[in-house]
Amino acid sequence: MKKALTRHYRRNVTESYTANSLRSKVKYLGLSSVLAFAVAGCGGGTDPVGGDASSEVVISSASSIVTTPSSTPVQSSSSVAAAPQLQYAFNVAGERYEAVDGTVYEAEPAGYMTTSGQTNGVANSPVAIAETDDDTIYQSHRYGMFTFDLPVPTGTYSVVALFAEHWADGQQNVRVLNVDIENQTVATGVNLFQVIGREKAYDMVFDDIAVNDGKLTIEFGASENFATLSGLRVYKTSGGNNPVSSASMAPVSSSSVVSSSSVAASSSSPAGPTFGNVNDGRTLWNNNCALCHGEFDEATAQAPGAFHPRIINANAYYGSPQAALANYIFTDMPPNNSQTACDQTCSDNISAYFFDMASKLDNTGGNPDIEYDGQQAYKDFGCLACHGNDGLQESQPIVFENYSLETLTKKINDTMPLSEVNPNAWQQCVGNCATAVAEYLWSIRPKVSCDDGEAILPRRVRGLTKFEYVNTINDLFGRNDAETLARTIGSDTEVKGFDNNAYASAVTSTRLDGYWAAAQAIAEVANVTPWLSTNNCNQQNMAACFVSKFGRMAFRRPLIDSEMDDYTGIFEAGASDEEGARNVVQAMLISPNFLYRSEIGSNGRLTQYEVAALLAYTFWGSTPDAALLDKAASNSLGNTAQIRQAVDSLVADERAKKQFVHFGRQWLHIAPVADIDRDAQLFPTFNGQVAQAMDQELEMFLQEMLLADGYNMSDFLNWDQVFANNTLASFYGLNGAGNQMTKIAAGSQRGGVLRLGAVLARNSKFDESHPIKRGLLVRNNLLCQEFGVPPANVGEVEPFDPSKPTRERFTAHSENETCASCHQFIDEVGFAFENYDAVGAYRTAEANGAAVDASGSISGLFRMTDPDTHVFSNLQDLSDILSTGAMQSASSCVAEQFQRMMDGEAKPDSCTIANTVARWNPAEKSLKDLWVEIVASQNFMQRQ
Amino acid sequence: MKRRSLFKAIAAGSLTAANPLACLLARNAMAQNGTAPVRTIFLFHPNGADGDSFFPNAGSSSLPGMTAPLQSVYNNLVFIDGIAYAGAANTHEGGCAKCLTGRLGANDPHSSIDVLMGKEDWANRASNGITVPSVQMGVGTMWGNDANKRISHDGGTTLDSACDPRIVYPRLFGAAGAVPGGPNAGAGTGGVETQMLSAAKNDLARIQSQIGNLDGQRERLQQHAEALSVLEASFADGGSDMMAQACNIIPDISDAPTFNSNDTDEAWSQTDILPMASQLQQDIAVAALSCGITKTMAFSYGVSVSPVKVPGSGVGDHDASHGSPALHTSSKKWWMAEVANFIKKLANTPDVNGSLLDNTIIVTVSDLGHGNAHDHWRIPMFLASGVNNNMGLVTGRSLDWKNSPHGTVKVIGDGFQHPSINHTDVLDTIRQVAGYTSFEMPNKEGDIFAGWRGGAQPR
Repeated sequence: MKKALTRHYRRNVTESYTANSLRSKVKYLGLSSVLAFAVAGCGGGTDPVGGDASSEVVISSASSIVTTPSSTPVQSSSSVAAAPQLQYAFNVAGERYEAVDGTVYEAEPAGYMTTSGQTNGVANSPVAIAETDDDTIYQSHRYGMFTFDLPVPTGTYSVVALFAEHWADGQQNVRVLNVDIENQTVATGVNLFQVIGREKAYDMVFDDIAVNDGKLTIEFGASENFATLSGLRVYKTSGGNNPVSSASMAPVSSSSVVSSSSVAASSSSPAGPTFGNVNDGRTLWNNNCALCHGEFDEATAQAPGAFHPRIINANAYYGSPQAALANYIFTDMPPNNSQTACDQTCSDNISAYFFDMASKLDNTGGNPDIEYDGQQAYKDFGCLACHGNDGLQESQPIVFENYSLETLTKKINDTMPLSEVNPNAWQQCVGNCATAVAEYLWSIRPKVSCDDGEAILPRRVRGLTKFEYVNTINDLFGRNDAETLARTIGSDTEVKGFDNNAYASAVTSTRLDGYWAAAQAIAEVANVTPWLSTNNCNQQNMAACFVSKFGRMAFRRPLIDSEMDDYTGIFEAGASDEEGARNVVQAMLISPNFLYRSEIGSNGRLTQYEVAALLAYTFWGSTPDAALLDKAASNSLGNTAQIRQAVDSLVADERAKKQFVHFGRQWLHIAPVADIDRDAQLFPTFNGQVAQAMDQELEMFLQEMLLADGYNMSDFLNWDQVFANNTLASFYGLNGAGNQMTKIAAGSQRGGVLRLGAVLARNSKFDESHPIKRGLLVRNNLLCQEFGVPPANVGEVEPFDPSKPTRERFTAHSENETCASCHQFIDEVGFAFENYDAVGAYRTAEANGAAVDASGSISGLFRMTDPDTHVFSNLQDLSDILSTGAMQSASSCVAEQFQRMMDGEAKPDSCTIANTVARWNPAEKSLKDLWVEIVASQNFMQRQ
Repeated sequence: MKRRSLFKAIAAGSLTAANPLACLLARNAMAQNGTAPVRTIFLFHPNGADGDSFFPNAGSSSLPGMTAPLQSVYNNLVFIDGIAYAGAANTHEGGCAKCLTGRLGANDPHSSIDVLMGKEDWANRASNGITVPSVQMGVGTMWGNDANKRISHDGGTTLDSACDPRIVYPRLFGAAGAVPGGPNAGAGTGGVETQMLSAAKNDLARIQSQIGNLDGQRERLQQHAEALSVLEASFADGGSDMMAQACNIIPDISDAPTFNSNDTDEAWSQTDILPMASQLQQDIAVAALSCGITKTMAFSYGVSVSPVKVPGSGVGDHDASHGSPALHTSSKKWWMAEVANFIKKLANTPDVNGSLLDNTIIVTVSDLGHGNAHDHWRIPMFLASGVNNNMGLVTGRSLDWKNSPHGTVKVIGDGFQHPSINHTDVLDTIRQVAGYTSFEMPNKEGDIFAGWRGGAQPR
């Protein structure tokens, strides 16, 4: 068996390393397994770094470097002779692991560790670790500044800290760490790389640690970069003033060697308590706890509960370290401070009582097959804190759409509660618990019933977005400069990426100021002459004529008498007809009748003028023209057939192109490439012309796919052609283009939405690709699969190591259970895009020279947690998979996205969407056919 | 802009007329009782910070890299280390939603404190003389701007932080005025503008009548009605010829470039423009506060996740925040240098009972605590005011509240348990100090009065 190099320390001794001493230390380590250091001080406490410690190594004479099996009980010269008892063994930042020597390392439990400083995280480096057969332990590691507070009985302890250096390189990356135990520095200035190099197991042993406050505190810090840690073992080497009862200690007390079979932290076989007094615990329980929880049936180790309808099963706690249970009772029981708090002795004894009962049962530990009340278990396991009573709490909503009952059960069983975000989650909800909680949640999830038909939108007014305002002005006055004239108007409040949030587009004071200034500017330059010509108006009644005709276009309906009076008066205040007309233009442009488009309706139905406006703003992003208003006037927009006919005309109009580009950009979250900033040194061939061509490519692609005949979502995802000009074709490495944008063969590296230059470049960073954004594009935008909000402190990819390949830098996302709950569905999909750099150019190697690995798999094409799995080797494969396997999902998604934009609603009615998709039949019809089906919904013209 | 050139610009139509009577009224209002109103500036800087590079050690007056440019105004500052945002979504977007609102989540509809203060000021305009309820402005704010990165909220509606001085200036100093010689000459009480507003109000009333008492719609239309009232009131305040007499601090925006392209907002965020933009926007802000045009503003330096590159950095601010602390410092320190200039300008502006800074509270916020870790813990905050300020804030200190048993112990900010103080406690303290009574900040747990008055502990 390989043995980790082990450094053996005494308590209260500080080691201080300098560069010189480190060199000598490496030499020592290379020479011998047992070497003594020169004595520079004994029992000396900390060595102030500020002093001139030129080459001194300060260490106890009793200390030595020894090579021992990594989990052999510690027997230092200064240790007491009593057999050490393993109290804790943690595989830090990793899963539960049984070592080659049988020691069981539990996953690092929550509640025992706190971090400080700004940078903390976990990572896994899947490389072979030298000097050990237990690579798994040393591969996973935590980095940052962190402190373990481990509940322990009074006594003397040894601590073994397990390290491997994965990051420091002896050049730019330097790590110098320190260890403090019980508030005394026991190691300082440790440069692991210089001591041991990279990817080698290295254990530090600290002996003779007296603990009499019930808590062993171990702090890991650093003077350069961050501390790291891979594993931790704690042994009790002598008792103290908190002796355990002989009865409760029976399973291990006779053993002089700690092994997996006698480790309380292990769940592999029955074992009793390792501390506390069972009989006292029974008495304490019955006198204090049974009031709510009931007395135990010790034959089954179950307490049925009394006032508190909760079943407690001692076995349920068995899989955790006894100290964890003791700590939980000490911290939280009794709740609400309703009674005298259970002190440490009380907690120790009650936990001993639990473990004693469990040890007498014929079980294998862990949670047994007991019956749970799902609602109660949902509370007892701390689910409420994150997910709320209904599972939908904003802090961490359960996205039920992503689950079936089966996959929700599996999710809970495998991961819940997340220990990293729930300090009390020392107990996992598995087996029947997971089933019961899942069934409870499934019963309360929001259910959509379409039995009552499609949901009907409320009557409302909707503010023009800035995009709609600009288009409206341009179309009203035949201009193309409205964006400049309207520059005082601020931005819009969005709804899931779309700029037309129907319920948050209030006209604030600032917004109205902007409207006023814009109206002034527009009125000043507007060409009102045609409106005043004798062809349109009789000179004898110019005011009323102008107001009536212009007002009909501005308000998108004929004016009523009182409006005619107001605006005629404004016209007549002008010194001339032209001035009067400009006054009216300005006045109407700040009128709510212009700024809002009405969906108030009459008797529960939109008026035909309102239908005209809804159609125009949906398909043109602009005001209805005279012809459309005429249709409204002649009652030609009153039924579905008429409306479908109108939509056919609208989408064939040139104005639709701009609107569908606007829709597509918002749907895909692709802002103009011309605005991006990329590292010119890394990407010298990416320039303004390329960016402009990419924007044109995207826009022409959207227009082609969404408005031309014969394209479906399969084409959208995986097309064999691209639009390019010479500039873009050269950038892409394609042939056949000319000076103008034209369709050319896509080749194997291009084609479909995922391989558009704009999509790739926009979903990147200044100098590198961004797999998360790219993965989310597929999940969120194309498949409409959503995620909850990220939990705290998850934004950091393991920092500052540009030498690693991109996907390796993201491994923390899959290793950290909190991150992995979402990123298991995101990152690998994003890695499929790795052949495309931050400006969308094809590559086979990353900037650091690492070969691109774009392979992976995607699962859950319909419902994210479903088990269907599809393997790809690159983005072309992924495009193939999506265009076939996700055709239906993606088609439903585009219908949902368009409905969202049309309604201005975050959650458009799912029944309406389902019915639309059924009418549409995307497997047979083109994308263009969707638009007439969307307006054919039974609720299209209805309002509450 | 020298006074003459300002008038020239107005006459040429490049600026709308100023709103002088408002200044006069405000200054008259200020002069009453010999006390000045408390002004508030909520100052945003984006993408968090590295706490150890931002906060001085407690008790130390030596500022680390990110805040080193503030050293010259250290005596005006109170660093408060250990403030956390409560609630969900520890993200850029979540922080933007929370930082001025006290919200616990992005979908919470609470308005931001600048907007709430502005509404109360507006309700009391007869006594305080303001003409603009609150101002949302900044520097380099519109490149990368999107709805979920905005910090000011009027209910569910997000408010832009305007960065173009040629938009901000007329809004503050004359948005409601007529353009002399233009189609609306003769504006003022009884003029055609009044008719226009009257027609708009009539139209709105008809819509309100049709909509009825429908939740959501009713509130939106009421907001619209209030906005019309603000505009109408500004008409009533008169013409343009008294401006110079009323306000003796005239911002000079004559150097402000005019961008004819449609990407004006982005143009104002370019590296070489930022210094000028900062200077002009600060001048406008100082004048607006000094003249009493408004009492409160949210002033943003940049916008969360923006690609803006500040001078001397070479890397986008957001990208820098995901690099080393040193890289982030290279960007952050430019913002902080501009904040120092802002503070100095306020200090150099005379006001009742001292300088404008003596009557102003600055509260800095950001969207994140640590920029790279994306947490909401150790929000890079400090307060600023005059050394002899009239609000009782004892300045020239750094308070370390991050590991002290203040506030409540809760999982907050970075996902771990801390004894932490909600930032809403800070905001609500500001509310009380500034004398606002019509609202309270939500989700507060206490206040920081004890620390405010020179103690080390919040309450």
